[in-house]
Amino acid sequence: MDDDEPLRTTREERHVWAGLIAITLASAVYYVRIVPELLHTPAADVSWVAPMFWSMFAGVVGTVLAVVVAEVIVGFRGRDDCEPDGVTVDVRDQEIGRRGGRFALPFMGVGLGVALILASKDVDGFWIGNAVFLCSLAATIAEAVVKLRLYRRGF
Amino acid sequence: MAPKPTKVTNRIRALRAGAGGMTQADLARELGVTRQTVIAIEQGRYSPSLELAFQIARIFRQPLDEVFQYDEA
Repeated sequence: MDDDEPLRTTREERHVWAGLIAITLASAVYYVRIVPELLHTPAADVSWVAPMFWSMFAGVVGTVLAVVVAEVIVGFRGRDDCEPDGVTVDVRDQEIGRRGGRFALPFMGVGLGVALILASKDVDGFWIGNAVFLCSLAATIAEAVVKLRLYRRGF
Repeated sequence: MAPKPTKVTNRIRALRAGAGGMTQADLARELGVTRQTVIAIEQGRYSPSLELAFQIARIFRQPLDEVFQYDEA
């Protein structure tokens, strides 16, 4: 092993990348499906529930698949040298996880607040569901971006 | 090159060399962390916790401020 090699990804960082890519793609597919329909159809008539749940399901399954693919590639490249004695999550990963999580909370809070306000105004379920979905997506992306920045830039 | 995010510098690389050529993997194994964490500390991209810093100093049998320095400039 070369002591001068650059800082490579840990398993946790690869998981963050996998989740970010899979969830962003799955959500993009949802919006590609919903937005054109919304332009021609009243929100109350847009069928959004099934596509949203499929998008969430695809995001989770896609993340798992992306993690498996990433680990197989890393295994083939013989890159598992960064985990002596099977250490996969260490203090740095935990600290990055905590810091990243703090950035997700405000988005989730906003999502819940907006959903409550919309519900109190008897707004159609489409808007309530999509407000929660959008804020959850923003929270997921913000958390992942902050974590990746901390992994790469340091702290 | 982006500025380092921490003012904490360290002599871990030199201390490893002085300890019979201890590798990053050896040090990581003793600390129970990934080798990438050792690399991040050496490159000044991660300020370790006080507990981890003491563990590193103890492995090299050095006082803490012989291993880590705080650059106030």
